[in-house]
Amino acid sequence: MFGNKKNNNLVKLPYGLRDIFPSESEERNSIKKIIDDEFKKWGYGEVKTPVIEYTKNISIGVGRDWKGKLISFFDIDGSLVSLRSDMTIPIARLTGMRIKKNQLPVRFCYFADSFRQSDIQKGISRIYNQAGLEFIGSSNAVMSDTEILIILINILNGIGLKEYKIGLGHVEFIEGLCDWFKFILPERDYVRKAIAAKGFVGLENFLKEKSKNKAEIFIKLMQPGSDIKKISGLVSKIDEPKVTKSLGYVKKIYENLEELDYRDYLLTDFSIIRDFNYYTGLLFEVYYPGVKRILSSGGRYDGLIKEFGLDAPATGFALDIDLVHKAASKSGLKESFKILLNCKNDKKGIESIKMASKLRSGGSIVELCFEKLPDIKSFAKEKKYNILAEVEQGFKNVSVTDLDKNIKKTKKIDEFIKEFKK
Amino acid sequence: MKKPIKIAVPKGYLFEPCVEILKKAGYDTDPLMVKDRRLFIYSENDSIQYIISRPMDVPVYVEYGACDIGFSGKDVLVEKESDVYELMDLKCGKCRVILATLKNCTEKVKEYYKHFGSIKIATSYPNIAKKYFDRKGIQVEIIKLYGSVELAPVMGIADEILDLTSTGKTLKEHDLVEMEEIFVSTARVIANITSYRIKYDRISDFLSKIKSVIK
Repeated sequence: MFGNKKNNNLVKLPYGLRDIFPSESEERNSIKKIIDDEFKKWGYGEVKTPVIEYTKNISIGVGRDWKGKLISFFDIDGSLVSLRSDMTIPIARLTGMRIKKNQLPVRFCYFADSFRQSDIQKGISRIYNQAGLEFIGSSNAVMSDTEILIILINILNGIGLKEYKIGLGHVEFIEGLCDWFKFILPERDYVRKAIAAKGFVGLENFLKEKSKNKAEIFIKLMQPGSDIKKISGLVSKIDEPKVTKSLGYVKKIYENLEELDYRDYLLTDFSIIRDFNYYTGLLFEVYYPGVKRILSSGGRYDGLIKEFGLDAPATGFALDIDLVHKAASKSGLKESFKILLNCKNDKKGIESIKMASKLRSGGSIVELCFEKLPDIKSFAKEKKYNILAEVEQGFKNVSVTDLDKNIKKTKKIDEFIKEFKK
Repeated sequence: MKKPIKIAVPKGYLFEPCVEILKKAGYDTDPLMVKDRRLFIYSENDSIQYIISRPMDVPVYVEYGACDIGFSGKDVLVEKESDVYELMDLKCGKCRVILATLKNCTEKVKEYYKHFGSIKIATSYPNIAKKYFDRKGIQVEIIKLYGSVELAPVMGIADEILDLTSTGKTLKEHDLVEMEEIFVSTARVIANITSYRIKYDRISDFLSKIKSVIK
């Protein structure tokens, strides 16, 4: 049924990991380039950190349930180490260790793989290829949050995504609502867990037992909306400092982005809860139709870097390259022109390499074929070449097959090179 | 033209109560009542695309965004632990997830557990079974079956079953007695996490229509 492999020698990868082939890689790189260009234009500099860190460092600021998601093992001296599960914590560590107060603010960006444990049965990926940035140490919270959101919007637009929505929320909003209900700690935990698990039926029943009227308002406030005034109306009935303050903050960001005509991309969603405990203020997520998970997420984490020795406010986001790639439906990526040059004539091998170099100078991709293939034309078609060039005996003429139009012509070598040298 | 939304409707015992609610809420359910084997049904009047699927697959279609909304039993949601929004309790399709064993066997099972330190549980809900017994600190061997679970004790391959019951009729027919109720399950409305934000206007309109007819 599964075929017969010799000696039962089946090569496998650990679950949740995969290989990436050139065609996918090429598309991902063109997406990364758009991201990189935008990062650079705003003055963000790339940092790289080791894939492995001490578990005790890398678990600072993560939620209780997150520790099970670290992929950990023992170092040679017996200390517990883990693969990084995101880039924000390593960058916070780097900043706390190596940046001095007078160097602030700093703008860092990264392109990196992170690793998280997943359920073996569900077969969910354990590797996350992310691009992101961290804006650390600015005393102006509203403007720094606005800056990173503009960068995010520019990137998404630059990639050619159209139907995305950015949900804006705030960590303290739910806290404030819990204050309003005068909840004790276990009740707060329950509420947070229910919202994180997206179980609104259970949440509503739980809240209704406390107060029917308040429960209705709570549930309404958890719904996503494109009209921030509606929420302001509801919130005016709740006199809780945390609720008013956090809504006021989101409103400022919303109005800033509205002024730049970005309103269509925005919605408010105070049900946003992240897996990480380090967030202290604004939270946001990017949704895209037909993509299962959240394309990008981020927010403000003012207390995290302090844990590593430098008291600095910070904000940032990460984009999941896998998901962005899925969302970008080919995204109008320009494919390069590809030529397959057949150099079966051994004696003239070096001549062929020289000829290929000349062809490449015009920007075309030229692959040399040293093999004697029975059907080179279908091989070239399979590999999506535009042109198959075969040098004829004597090295004067070349027979050129246009694989898109299926036309074969014989040309002088010099003329052929001229065509591509521009 | 409204953008169509896709709704997953489960086959089986939840199909009729769900269609009934849709009908009461003012949706055109005639296309759903056509008795053929089609699994894609488009309702022109409401611009809704219905997808008829196996109950266990409803949360999967919704999680992956093939459907925006779905009707699913709570039992399936607990078993699957899918990453979807659970938005409303339809309060219909009520049934209970229970533990049962053969009549006159409760003592025997206890004795068996004392002796061998493990019991065999037949179920279509291995995840629920595992979590339930883990919490109780009882060692079990879970035997996954795809239906007619009540046969397992009769055939002697399991000591107990963890299954769904509504009237208890099937249990009685197989000489089984209920030992414990694990939870009560009703039908729920679930939504995909991105659709919930991007098509919120349509989903909320749908929810308020449904809400007006339940209870």
